[in-house]
Amino acid sequence: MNETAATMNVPRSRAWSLFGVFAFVALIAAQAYAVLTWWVWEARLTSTLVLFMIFVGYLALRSFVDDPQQRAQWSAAVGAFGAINVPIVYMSVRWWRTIHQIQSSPSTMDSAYVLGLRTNAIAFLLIMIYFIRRRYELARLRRATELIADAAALGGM
Amino acid sequence: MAWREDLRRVRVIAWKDITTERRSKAGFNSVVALAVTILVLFGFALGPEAQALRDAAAGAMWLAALFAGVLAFNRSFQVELESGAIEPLLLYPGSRWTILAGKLLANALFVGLMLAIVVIVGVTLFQVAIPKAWPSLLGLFALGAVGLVVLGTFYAAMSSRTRAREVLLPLLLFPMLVPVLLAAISGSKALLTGDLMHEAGAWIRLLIAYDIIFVAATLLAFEHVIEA
Repeated sequence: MNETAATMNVPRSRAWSLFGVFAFVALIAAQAYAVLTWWVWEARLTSTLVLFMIFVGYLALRSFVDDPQQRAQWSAAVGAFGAINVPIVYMSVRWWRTIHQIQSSPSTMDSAYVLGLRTNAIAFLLIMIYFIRRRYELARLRRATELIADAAALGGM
Repeated sequence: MAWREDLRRVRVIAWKDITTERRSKAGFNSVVALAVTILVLFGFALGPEAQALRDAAAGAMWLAALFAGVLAFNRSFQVELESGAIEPLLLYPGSRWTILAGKLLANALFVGLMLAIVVIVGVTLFQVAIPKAWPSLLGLFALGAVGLVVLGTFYAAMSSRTRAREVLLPLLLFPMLVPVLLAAISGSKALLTGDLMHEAGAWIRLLIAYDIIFVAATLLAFEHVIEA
């Protein structure tokens, strides 16, 4: 593999660590808002926690692998397998009838709330995309400086 | 016949792993000893009351098998790395997925034997009566074992080549195994108590779906993971 491919792969997957932050915020916010206790074994909350733990494993893998090419390929595999759990989180409110309501849509809620839900959902998606984009650029720059430093140390450039 | 060649490769690799293990026995013996120790410790943690032990028996048996199994998964790739055997193995002609399939077979036999011992010891220690529906229980244990082995072996192919393999494998593996453990524990608990709610069938279907998805996914992804 040439160096350009490695520079492309590494920062892109590193940017996904932001997803973990969002999942964590969602966990804390969801339970502080709805549950009003420290923890309850509710299907949506528990499946989100499992997804978060899968993500912690993903980050651990990234920190223990040094070779960029290997790290990129392994993270991709672990990420793809972990993503299989996303539909489980989504469907958890239908498969297990615990205290969480089923997925909200205009037909299940008062029309006054529809605009608020839509605005917030889109806004959070955009914030996420923006953060990932910035994180990706930062990681790319860092990687580029590393490569330049390596080349300079070897007497090239 | 290409598929016949592939099948032969799978068999040869499985046979190689089983022979290595049969001749040394060191790995298997220590893994089984650990599993039994964990069962005894669960016994202490849950107290001497017979009903509490009986209720927790299914969970204790599966967790003991899981904790001990992690050691076996790491071992199956570590022996290749220690003797520098992984590169020649990859250089042989033929599809790479056959390496994983062979190791899956060997590990499934390994974990299956361990589970059999765990169940015998667990049933004795936790004072569980063998239910009339024991053939379904056997099938459920087999499906659960396949679930553990498939992802365990796949993730071990990565984690055994990193610096912190002992920590990394459980960290990656355990959250991914939550559906298998949930289905296996709830299903065996239902069968052990006579399946009054007729829920065991649903758990067995979930295990079958999980096994099919992850056997296919790991065989497809293995080539990209092992060559890196």
